[in-house]
Amino acid sequence: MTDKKTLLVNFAEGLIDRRSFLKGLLATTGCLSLSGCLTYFYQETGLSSPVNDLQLRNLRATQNHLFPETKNNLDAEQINALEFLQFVLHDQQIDLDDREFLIKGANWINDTSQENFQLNFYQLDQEKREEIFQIITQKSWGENWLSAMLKYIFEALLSDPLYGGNPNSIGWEWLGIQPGYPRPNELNAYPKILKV
Amino acid sequence: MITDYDVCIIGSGAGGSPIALELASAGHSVLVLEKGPWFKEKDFSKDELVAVRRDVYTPSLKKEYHVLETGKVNSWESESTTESGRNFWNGNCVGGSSNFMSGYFHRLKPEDFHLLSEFGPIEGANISDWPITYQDLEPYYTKVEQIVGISGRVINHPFQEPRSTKDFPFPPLQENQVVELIDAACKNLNFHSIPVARAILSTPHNERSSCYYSNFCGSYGCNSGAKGSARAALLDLALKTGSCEIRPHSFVYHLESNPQGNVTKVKYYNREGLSQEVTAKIFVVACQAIETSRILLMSTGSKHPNGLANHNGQVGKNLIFSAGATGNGTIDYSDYPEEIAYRLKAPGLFVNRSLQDWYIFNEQSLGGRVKGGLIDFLFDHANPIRRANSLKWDGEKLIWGQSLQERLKKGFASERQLNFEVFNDWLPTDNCFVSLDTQNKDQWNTPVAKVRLGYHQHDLKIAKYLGDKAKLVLEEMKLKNISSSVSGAPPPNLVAGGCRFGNNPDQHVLDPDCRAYSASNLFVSDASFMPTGGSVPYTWTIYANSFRVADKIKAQL
Repeated sequence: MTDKKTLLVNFAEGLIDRRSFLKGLLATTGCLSLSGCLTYFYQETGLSSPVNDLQLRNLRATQNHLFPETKNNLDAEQINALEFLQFVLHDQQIDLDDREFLIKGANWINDTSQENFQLNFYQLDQEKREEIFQIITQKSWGENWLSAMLKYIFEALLSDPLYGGNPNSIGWEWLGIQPGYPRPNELNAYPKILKV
Repeated sequence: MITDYDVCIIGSGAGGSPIALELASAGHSVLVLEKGPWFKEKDFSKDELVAVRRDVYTPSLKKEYHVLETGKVNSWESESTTESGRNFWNGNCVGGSSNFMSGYFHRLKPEDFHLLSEFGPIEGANISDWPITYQDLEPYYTKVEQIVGISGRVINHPFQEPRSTKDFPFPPLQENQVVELIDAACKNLNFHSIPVARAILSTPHNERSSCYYSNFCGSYGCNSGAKGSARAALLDLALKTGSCEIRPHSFVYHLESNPQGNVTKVKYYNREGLSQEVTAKIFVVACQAIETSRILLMSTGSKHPNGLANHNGQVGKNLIFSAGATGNGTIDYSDYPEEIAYRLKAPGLFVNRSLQDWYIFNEQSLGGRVKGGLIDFLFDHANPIRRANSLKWDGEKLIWGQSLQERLKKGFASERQLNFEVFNDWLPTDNCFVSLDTQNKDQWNTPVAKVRLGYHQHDLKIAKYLGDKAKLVLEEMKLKNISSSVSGAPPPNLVAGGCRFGNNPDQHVLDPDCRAYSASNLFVSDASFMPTGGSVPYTWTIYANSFRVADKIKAQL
């Protein structure tokens, strides 16, 4: 069995794909959820999460307002959007500026919330969150940031379940999408394919 | 003189692979050096994250990039693609970008070989006739049909090019119901709707399987071998001869030449970053137009102080792309009877229709009899993430929440987009060329290519004219939300020129055999040789010309 340290280092260096990482981690630690594995990942590697607790809460609240729980629709929680976003934040192939922009946006939306309601964004009710969205979309950073957040929600919704989003293909089923075959496997999925 | 190989080919795409196959089949030892990795069919899946969203098949822009100059005369602005994120690479791997093409295959027309003689000069454009004719290339077009494998159906129409065989060797691929709607609309408009040939096998060939209609073709590697990529169709055959070797992860940075000007060896970095050398009798450069010019310009020598084969300063000049327009309309399934709607939804089946009625036409406002181009129809690529991303905008307004969720459901369940693409000549001008950037270096510390991207206004006028004709078809089909656009932005995957061939050593880089005038053992066999590009995608012509050049090399060895 791969030892934990090797597994974690390999993942951090992009040498193994997410599914292999999670499978290995589950086998070695017994952690049962994706977010639990991430917590464990940060503890064991000594790497710091690129986002602090406040940023994470605001990112989650933003995703839940962009893609909320509504009747007969999927929502951000169901598709593991937050966990998927955290993997994006660690993805060395994605431009650092783009990843930092995602985090800065979490700060800026909170600043806007504090200015207008003296509360953190994640503490607002739906109505006030919508007001903040309307305010920030008047600014170029705000619209660009929400657009980028949606982009990664769609990746969580519609990429192969192997990547952690779209669990049990619920995103594909919801929109009636027939995936292409063959689907990726542990040997040819991203980022392992980069090592060919 | 004893050399490591008879022939060393730099670049493994459509320009190099026919030569690898032909020379290896003739018993010559061939080495193919490829900068990128070697993906096999087992490495390809229909994974949108890999194929489309993370640029897996092209270099990281942090490590390798271009500097692009845009603007207009006297006010060019430079920006590196690292800064802009504008990826100007195509597929960098064994087989090159042919792995990821959609395989819309068209021959050039006889008139494309002598545009200057046929239509006369256009001010500001460096139009030049080819030194060969359509008849010279026709046998090789036919050879490509048979070896690479082209599926289609020949019908008579006003612009059908002369053929030495009656029909394609492989029957047409299965088509979506939408082709009947296109055909009916064209008939009403008195246009000639023409079946498009595809470099995709409809029946098995050479141990390659036929197409299984995966619905994920363009931008994706083919794991059945049906797509006529240089890797699947040619290099796999070349390897079986036992005379061909392929080395991936081999970045060539210098072709060394002797005092007489001939090439003696290539120098390249391997995967570990170590410099390696190879000698050969004949060298072939086929790295796609921009990289080919860059490598030649980097390869200075005592006889080539300004770059290999650049005796007249023409290497990199007269770069061309494909000009054109794009447009689309929405097929709303609720506008059709249930049975028709069901068939229109069917994924995977091809559209395969084009219009060529205005390949050459008369229009006084455009100067009388002019060269026009081609219109291809196609469905939006499947790519659901990309499609969802496009649905988040309502005009210029970002939408979210339940309205976005409902829009996604409607967009995916009740409609699909029919697109058109116009291809017309990108006129060669003094404002479109490749040079070496003096300030920016890549991961190997070699100068990156600087590409000036000027275009001729005439290109846009022709594109607009053809785009308006295509829109008539969508309107006649009663599609919704019809739109079109014309742009001077070049498509990076449709690039040619930079090393023109011709009869005059003072004006041309290559002779009519695609041999460098100033280095008799150097050939260039990608699209760099083209003085004008015609009005169709280039791949079939690149393949055909490379087979022709292979015959010239065989004669020289």
